[in-house]
Amino acid sequence: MKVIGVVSQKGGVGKTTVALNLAYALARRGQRVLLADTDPQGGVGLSLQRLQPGPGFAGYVARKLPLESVVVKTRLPEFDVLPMGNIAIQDTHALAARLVDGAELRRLVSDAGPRYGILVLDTPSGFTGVTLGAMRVSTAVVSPLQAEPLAMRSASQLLEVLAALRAEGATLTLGGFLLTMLDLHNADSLGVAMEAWSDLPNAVVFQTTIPRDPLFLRASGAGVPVGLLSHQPPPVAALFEQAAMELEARIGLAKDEKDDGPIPLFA
Amino acid sequence: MAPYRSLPDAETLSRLLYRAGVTSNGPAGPFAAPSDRISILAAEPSDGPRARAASPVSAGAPIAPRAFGETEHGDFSDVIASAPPEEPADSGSLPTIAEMSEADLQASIFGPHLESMPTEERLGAFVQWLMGGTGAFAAFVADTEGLPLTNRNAPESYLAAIGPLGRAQETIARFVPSPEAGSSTVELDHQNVLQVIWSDTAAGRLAVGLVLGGALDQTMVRRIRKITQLSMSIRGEA
Ligand SMILES: Nc1ncnc2c1ncn2[C@@H]1O[C@H](COP(=O)(O)OP(=O)(O)OP(=O)(O)O)[C@@H](O)[C@H]1O
Ligand SMILES: [Mg+2]
Repeated sequence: MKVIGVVSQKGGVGKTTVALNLAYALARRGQRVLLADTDPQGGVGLSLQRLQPGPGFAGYVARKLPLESVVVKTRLPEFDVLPMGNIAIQDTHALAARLVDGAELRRLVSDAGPRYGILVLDTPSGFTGVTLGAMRVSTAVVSPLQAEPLAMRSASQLLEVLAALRAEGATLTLGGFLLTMLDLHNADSLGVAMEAWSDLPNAVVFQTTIPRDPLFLRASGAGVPVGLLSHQPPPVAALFEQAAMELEARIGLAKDEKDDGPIPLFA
Repeated sequence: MAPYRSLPDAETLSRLLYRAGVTSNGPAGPFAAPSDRISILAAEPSDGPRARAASPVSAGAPIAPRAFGETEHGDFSDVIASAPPEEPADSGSLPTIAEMSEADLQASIFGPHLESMPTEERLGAFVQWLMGGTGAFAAFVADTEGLPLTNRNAPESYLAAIGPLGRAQETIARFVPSPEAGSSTVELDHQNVLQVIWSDTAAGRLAVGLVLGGALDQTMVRRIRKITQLSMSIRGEA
């Protein structure tokens, strides 16, 4: 099983949106995916408004409930979600403390391992406790890079954190920066994208970019990935399918790794 | 250079990229494929992403016993959404499926060379079209025992429901005037339905199963039946 941490220094850059839509796209592509919310503020839980309240990850940690009893099934048989669950506001701190050393996350990884091909972790913003814990158990991290001034600062910060974790012996890799909220008509926004493409190695910046699009707001309002906004999914949903394909190739999940050459176009 | 530039200078950056494990051999070195360095943190499932192979099309394939609910994924619950709001069909220039002529519909699914297309490819194109054309969450084509010829997203347990449904259909056809290879709709939890459309084809009786937010109308059902027959038509006969 591969563990994908979705992380970023800055808040509100689209981590939860990326985690949900990417996880959904990977599942649509036939991967067995568990999306887990490790944010005690409940990012994924909040964005999935129709979710019935349940014990969730908090119950898994605090009450040692079995994983099967806390994951929530979705419309897609390949896709399960582990929301943060019910947690009293005064307990968020204690819960976060238990996630920091990584033991609970390692238990999650070993429980999920036999049943899923990919575990996607949505994390709180900032490279503090819980997020570092999540990064320690991750195979690779994906970091949304909001195409806005100052975004590149958080890119360097992520590289610093990766360097520090690797110096500590962690083996996680950078799955890539995913440019989000890109506005091609705005010079500043475009400037960030240009800087990312020109100064960072190609291999760490997703070719796919996610535009700034009100549909994402609508989707999070409705509590669905953009691919489920209507029976005819909007074109932006395809971008996440594309990002999912890129990710599969980057982390060695591509279904058939051997290049079987061009397939004849004409029958 | 943009005033908000915030990456460090090139040399510092390339050292940082090296330390972060992005580049493998020192500053400005080539990027190493990430898979070189991925650590496997938990047992790797041997099967990888699920790839359901289509069972052989030939009749008489061995029938594996299968219990209900054998899958770990028993249902399509609506965590992600209850049925997305029905949007009015795009009344723009494109004809709806019901309006298309049979020939156009066939060409839009299989392209111009249906006759020379291998059955597997036809089924692949058919299921792809089924998902897009009906908005189904899962679609499959199975034989009377529920063995799939092709399947996208449907859990085993749904396939296992096909056998009893087909037998019920045949029984019912003895009482009420209805075709043996008719269709039926099973109401599922979470406002979904499983719609099963039977057709008698060159490869015997087959079921198309769809999991969707609401049942399709008779026009669509008949069209799907026709296309199922085309998918299985013996080459040269299509
Ligand atoms: N590409 C986009 N275009 C427009 N709006 C977006 C886009 N991506 C995310 N949003 C919106 O921006 C807001 C913040 O996104 P999101 O919650 O995913 O960020 P986050 O990084 O998880 O935030 P937090 O740090 O609070 O966890 C949400 O309202 C979301 O709907
Ligand atoms: Mg969030």
